[in-house]
Amino acid sequence: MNGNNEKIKPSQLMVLFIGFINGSVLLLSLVDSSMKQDTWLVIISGYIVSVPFILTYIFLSKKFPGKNLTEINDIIFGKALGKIISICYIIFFILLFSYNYRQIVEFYSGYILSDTPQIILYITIALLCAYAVKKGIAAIAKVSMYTVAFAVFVVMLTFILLIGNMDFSNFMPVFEATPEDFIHSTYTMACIPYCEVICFLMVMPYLSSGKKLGRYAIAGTGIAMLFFLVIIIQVTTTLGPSSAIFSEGSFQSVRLIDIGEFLTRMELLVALGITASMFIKISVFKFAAVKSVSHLLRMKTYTPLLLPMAAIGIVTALIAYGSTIENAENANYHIVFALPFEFIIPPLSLLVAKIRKLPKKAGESVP
Amino acid sequence: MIIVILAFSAMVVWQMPKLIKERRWRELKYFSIFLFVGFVLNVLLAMGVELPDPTKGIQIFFDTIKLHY
Amino acid sequence: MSPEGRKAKKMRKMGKKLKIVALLLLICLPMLMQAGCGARELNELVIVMGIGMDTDTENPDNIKLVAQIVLPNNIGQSSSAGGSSGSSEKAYCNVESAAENTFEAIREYTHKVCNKLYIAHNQVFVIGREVAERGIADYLDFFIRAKETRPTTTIVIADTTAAEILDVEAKMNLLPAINVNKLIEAQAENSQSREINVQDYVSTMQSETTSFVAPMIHILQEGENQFLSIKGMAVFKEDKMTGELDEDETRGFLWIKGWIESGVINITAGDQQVATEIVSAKTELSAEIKDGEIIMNIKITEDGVIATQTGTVNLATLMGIGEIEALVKEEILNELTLALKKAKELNADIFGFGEVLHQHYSKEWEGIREDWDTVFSKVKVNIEIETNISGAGIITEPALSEE
Repeated sequence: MNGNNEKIKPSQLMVLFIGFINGSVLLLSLVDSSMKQDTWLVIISGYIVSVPFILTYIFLSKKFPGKNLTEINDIIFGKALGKIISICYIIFFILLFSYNYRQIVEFYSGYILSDTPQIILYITIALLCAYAVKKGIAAIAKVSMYTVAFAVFVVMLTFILLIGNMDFSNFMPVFEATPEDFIHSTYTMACIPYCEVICFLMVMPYLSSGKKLGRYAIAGTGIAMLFFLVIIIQVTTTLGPSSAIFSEGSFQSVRLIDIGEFLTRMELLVALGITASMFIKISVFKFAAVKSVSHLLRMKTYTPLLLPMAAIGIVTALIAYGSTIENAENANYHIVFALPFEFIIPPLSLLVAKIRKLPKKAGESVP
Repeated sequence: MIIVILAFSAMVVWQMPKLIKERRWRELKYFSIFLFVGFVLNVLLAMGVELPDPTKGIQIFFDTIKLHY
Repeated sequence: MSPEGRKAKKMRKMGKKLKIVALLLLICLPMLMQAGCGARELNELVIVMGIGMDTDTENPDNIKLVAQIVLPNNIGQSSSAGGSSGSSEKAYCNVESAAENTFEAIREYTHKVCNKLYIAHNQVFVIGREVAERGIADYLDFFIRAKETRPTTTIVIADTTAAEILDVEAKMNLLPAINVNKLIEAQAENSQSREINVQDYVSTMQSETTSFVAPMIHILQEGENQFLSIKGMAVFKEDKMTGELDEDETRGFLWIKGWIESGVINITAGDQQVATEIVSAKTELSAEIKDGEIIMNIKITEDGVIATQTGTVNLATLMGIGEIEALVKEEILNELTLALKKAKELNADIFGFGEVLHQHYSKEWEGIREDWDTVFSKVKVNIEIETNISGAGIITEPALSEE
């Protein structure tokens, strides 16, 4: 395949997992507005709920080593149905990576470069991610090591600098949110940051070895969860009840850093950290989308598809998802929409595979 | 508008010669299809035509079967 | 060279050219983002250091903003004014603008000033008394929403109008707004007022029960000179100012919140006076519900040193110190009582008792929170104070002491 002559080590995969999930950090404010001081609970519960599903993805990948999602679908569901399912996944991936385009461009637009016409931002991000995907997933995995290191550094630094502003009584009263809200938010957390790793099923074939894959995946997700926890602790303790009204709490809390009158305006670091993480997320999604399309159409390389799909992605980002304000509302629909892709089809696939006793050993005929 | 045309011309210039030279007809075919779709959509957007919102479609779908929060 | 070779060479050259073009484009793209699109040059920026809010006398429904704009060219001149003849140019300029709401008022400035106001360096919001009594939420909303506003910007309530405050010439610094800000920070040394910033405002407003307080600033006339003075705090019910705390009441308020940093406690022992300096203070606040009554338990631990004493009898003795500690305790209790009394009088939960209840007794609080106005006055308070005098300066007895 084009540009992917290198394999990814499982430990690199773990870092890629972390970098990918970290890219969802902008989502935390969404959950925060309904859960307020109980957000930390949801971060943990979301993780617990998603672990079994992530294990499903890993089993699928282990059962069909070296095969990516589209291939697996073909094998399990037969050529016709498998293709239809793959097409649905492709639409899913395209929607997701354009959603993330939109998130990052809106973040920049709203907080930093607000006078720049959005199209320029879209093009810049699109070009950057297209270039990253062109270089191959192994390259992205290597870069994610740096982005994760940077993001972790930023989070730790701002956390330490804000210790003086922290008021831990802001966590009380615990369990104030209704069970309804709690389930809703847990589901949202499981659905969006954690289980979007379904798209990694397109990446799995590039692993150098499938050993200990499960361990790395769960560990990676767990580390990302810790990352979120640190951020939420910082936001809840410094902003207190007002974290619910700020559209991006992690950003706002960093603005409170005012030490010695010269360490101010640290929010730029946070913005950079968020950008770095989102870059990984968008690139991986893009890779998944482009790879699956090219595989479906039986193309030898996916490079030609990169830019046109980026263009389609931009258009989708601009027309879909309503206005900024509707974004939150839209998330509610999105999580139901994602239900089949992340939570239903993968376990179903495993089940079908078991029933049909797939994969058949070499030599036997494949149905 | 200008940006759209410039961007798409750039894409063509970047990929086409390579594809033609390497005689990758299949890739060329699909590249052109996607490029065309992207181009049309972008031009429509640049002209201010209101394109249908796929997520709205999803929302309506789920509203009718009443499966949402 | 063979035709293929020539072709290959041409392709390579073209490839190289394309790469250069691509590189140039990549460089231009970020520049497009920065230069063309709204980045503001330093000399174009209209930097605002302080913003005041007053009522508009011509149009009572309007809000009048006073923006203190820096005139960078004049900063050098002012400092060398000294004895030179001719008027010294001020380094700032207070410009007014009135409109129906804050954003309109801010944008109205573009009629008079050469660019949009740049409020990212704003140090302080000075709110005139009339506006404070009318209600500040509507006017602060714009600033909280704007991404340029710093959450650490301080808020202060003017005794009269903001315009007057922002006009008082500062002797120490060049800009009145910076002076006000520094003055606010200095209140930590006397603990009779306190710095409150925009973030505090937003957090307090989230609570249904807690009342917002902000420091008050006055103008003092001493002969020919005008000075600014910050003393006491203004008490708000929701967003409208309903009362004031004087110095002692503020002190009591700060004791309960645990916001005391340093200050003077004066006591009289017989015919001698002792002034102690507060070195550190710790407050523990907890709530209890017993027999349907809400009891707030306040435990204060204070550490102080003797700063000065009158008279010739040395009070820095074991017995003397014991006496002093007891008297300091009384004084603190007095300040607390004054604060509690005023708060109940104004029916404003400035201490955050409601929130403490919320945090630890959320079920009961659910039932009470709507009626907090009536319940608050019935809250009982248990106070426990521990004082400690740990030093007396560098002398062990007064210079003029009894034998």
